[in-house]
Amino acid sequence: MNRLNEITGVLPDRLKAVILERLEVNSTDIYISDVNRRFYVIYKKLQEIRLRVNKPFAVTYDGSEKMFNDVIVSVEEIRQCIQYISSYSVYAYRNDIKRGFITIQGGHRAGLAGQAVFDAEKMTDQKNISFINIRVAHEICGCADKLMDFIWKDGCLKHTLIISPPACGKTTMLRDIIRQLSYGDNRHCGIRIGVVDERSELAACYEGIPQNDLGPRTDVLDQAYKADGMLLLLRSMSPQLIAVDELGGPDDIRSVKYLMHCGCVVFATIHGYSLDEVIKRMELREIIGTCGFSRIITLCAVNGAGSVKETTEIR
Amino acid sequence: MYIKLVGIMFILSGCAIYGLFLCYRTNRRIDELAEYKETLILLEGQISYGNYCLPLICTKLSNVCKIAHIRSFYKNVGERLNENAGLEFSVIWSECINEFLKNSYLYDSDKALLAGIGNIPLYLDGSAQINYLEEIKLRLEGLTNCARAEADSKCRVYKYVGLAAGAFIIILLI
Repeated sequence: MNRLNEITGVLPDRLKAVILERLEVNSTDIYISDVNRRFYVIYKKLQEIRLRVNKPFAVTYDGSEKMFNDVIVSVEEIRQCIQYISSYSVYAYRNDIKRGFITIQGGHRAGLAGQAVFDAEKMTDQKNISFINIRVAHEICGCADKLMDFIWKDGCLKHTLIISPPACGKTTMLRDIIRQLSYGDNRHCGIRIGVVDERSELAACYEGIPQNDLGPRTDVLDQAYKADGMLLLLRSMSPQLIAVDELGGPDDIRSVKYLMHCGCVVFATIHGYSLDEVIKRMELREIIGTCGFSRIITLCAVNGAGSVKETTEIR
Repeated sequence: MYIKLVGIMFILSGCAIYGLFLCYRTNRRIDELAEYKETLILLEGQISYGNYCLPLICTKLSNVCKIAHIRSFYKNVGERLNENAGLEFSVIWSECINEFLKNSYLYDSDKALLAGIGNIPLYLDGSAQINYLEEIKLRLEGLTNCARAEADSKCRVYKYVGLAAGAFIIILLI
């Protein structure tokens, strides 16, 4: 299947035509007559599609924003798009809508914003959704190649923490590390990995099926709370390594501490700019060090997302 | 004389068969109503427990239906929902009702009730879907029970009236 269809399939006909017909492809990229190749190039360059009610249709394409001022998105088109994104079953995505996004086939994510619904001062839902942002998923296989030697340093895996500011590629990096560890290589056997994918970002499960390749020895617990999910996986799937994205609350930290004493290696990511900054957080101090996360990878965006700033081993 | 006898046999058997056909139609209607009720129970389960999407549920239902045109109906609804052709669920549902229940033994009032499922409030949460389906299910159950209660007496009448009508026609012709 043409991967562009995964994205255009959730758009109303008029907007679909804009994507297919009006986005430019350099003649050097393709043989113009080859339609499938053209779609492939469009897919590769497409990053975001934005629908804002009564505003021009916009896409982020090849690194820059393109605004189609003659294509004003109507209320009806937003409604249609939501129907398609939710497969006519908004009821099945209430939790996702509350969290602000729905993962669609192919692992692409549709961010949604409308009017918040509250119940006793707690946001329980969104209604009148008027803004949709479809982020095109681009799996980058091999982006962790340069880190694998560090990860397998001395021939053994240790608890590893990836520190990165937002949008610097920590999830992409963790995903590729999981994939490579699960497959194994010439020097190392593949290992059993459990992934707790609370926000469906790592595996991007659609109807329970991972849309991203996490390797042949990876089990995914989708949309579960990390703290509970990690313990569940430990008991049910006997993983050698558990991977989680974006450690946060005290419950997560408690579960990680528990896992670290159960003979299971933990790979996790966390928001931050540097190890020094992260270690200032009281709750994290306990799990960083020789008995906890002893290998630290810090990412930055200096040379584009996914640039490795430094790797540190705490001995 | 022989020709008359053969004619009498044909008329009698024709009328009796028509009576039996009416009987069959009554029973088939009950079967179809019961099958729809069963699919609604499964539909409720898939929504409340599985939290599945409608296209997937329809495809699953098409695999468990015993009656061919109901199977095709659900399969087609699932496929058309996946097409994302800009149509509302209610439109797709009622178009499929008209297309696939054309040759069924259901009454028009039964079809109207089933077409009402298309107005399910999909934009609300799962419990709203369940309540809506529960209401339709109760009405279907009422129709099925009513049809079952009448079936025996109706069938007897159809058979006897069929034979009596045949005899009456024969007397008229003789």
